[in-house]
Amino acid sequence: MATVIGQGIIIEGEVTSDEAVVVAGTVRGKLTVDGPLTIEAGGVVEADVGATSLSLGGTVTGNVTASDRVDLLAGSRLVGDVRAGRVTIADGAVFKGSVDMDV
Amino acid sequence: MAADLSRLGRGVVIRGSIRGDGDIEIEGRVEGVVEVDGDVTLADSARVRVEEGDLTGKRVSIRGAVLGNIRGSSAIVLEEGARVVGDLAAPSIGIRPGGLLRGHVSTGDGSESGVPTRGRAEARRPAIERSARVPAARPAVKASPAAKAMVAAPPPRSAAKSSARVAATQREAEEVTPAVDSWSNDAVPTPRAKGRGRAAAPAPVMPSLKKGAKGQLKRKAGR
Repeated sequence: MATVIGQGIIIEGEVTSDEAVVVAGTVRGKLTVDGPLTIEAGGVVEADVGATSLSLGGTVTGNVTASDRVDLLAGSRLVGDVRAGRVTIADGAVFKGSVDMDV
Repeated sequence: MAADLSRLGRGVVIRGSIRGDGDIEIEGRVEGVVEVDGDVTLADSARVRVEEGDLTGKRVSIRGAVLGNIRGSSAIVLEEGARVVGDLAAPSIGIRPGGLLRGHVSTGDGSESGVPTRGRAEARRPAIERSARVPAARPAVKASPAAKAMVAAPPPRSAAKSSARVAATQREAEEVTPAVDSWSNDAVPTPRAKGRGRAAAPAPVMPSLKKGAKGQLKRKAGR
């Protein structure tokens, strides 16, 4: 069972995890996950994000670095730069920033 | 997945504050603030170091290690394996066999007994502790050999053992970050006072205080 930051919870500071994390609440500061990170619709992350992979349904303000992939799902919102091996942006995702893939 | 249940797994470290609504289950490490409206459950692998305010929840159930004060708006339960250095305040408090505590306990509803804000707790504390602390802290009392013997007599074995385990908690908690001195001066003296209360008990088994520790304590109490 993954680590879950639930809807009503607000974390301010530095979060590190060596296992999968699901964010449905709010994280401000820094978020580093050695594993897959899921930000659900309604989840808000105002932080630089590092993870193996990111599946974004909610909102991120900050730069995203993923060693594997980043998926911006429909309804998601990202303001910041993305650096990842693979990036997908679904129709309906809002994204302002630059993408840096290994070309 | 229940949206209002949060779970921080073993591999999670948080430095900062955790606030908000909903229940939270902590298995990893937290340094900082935990203040939620829902229930808080600390698994045996949890290490929480409260750096500001109290660890606050509705029903706070603990199996892990906590350094800092704990406040429950409904209840606090120290389960077997709990190691807490800090004060407890809640309408209802349970300590199950195997739960270890070094600190004050205050039960009853908040309005009367003052479920303490930190400030109030500290305002209150001297009155309680001074009586216990003074014998150790004031040289005047040392002049009386009887009093000195009382002070020197270590607590009975069980207490000595617990205090060793509680000391282990402190070490665990310190692992989270290098020692910050500030907590020790309010958290540590209390059980010693208790031990002293039982000082008439049988043969010294194991000194619970290191040589010189008392002097250190005295200096801290002085400020």
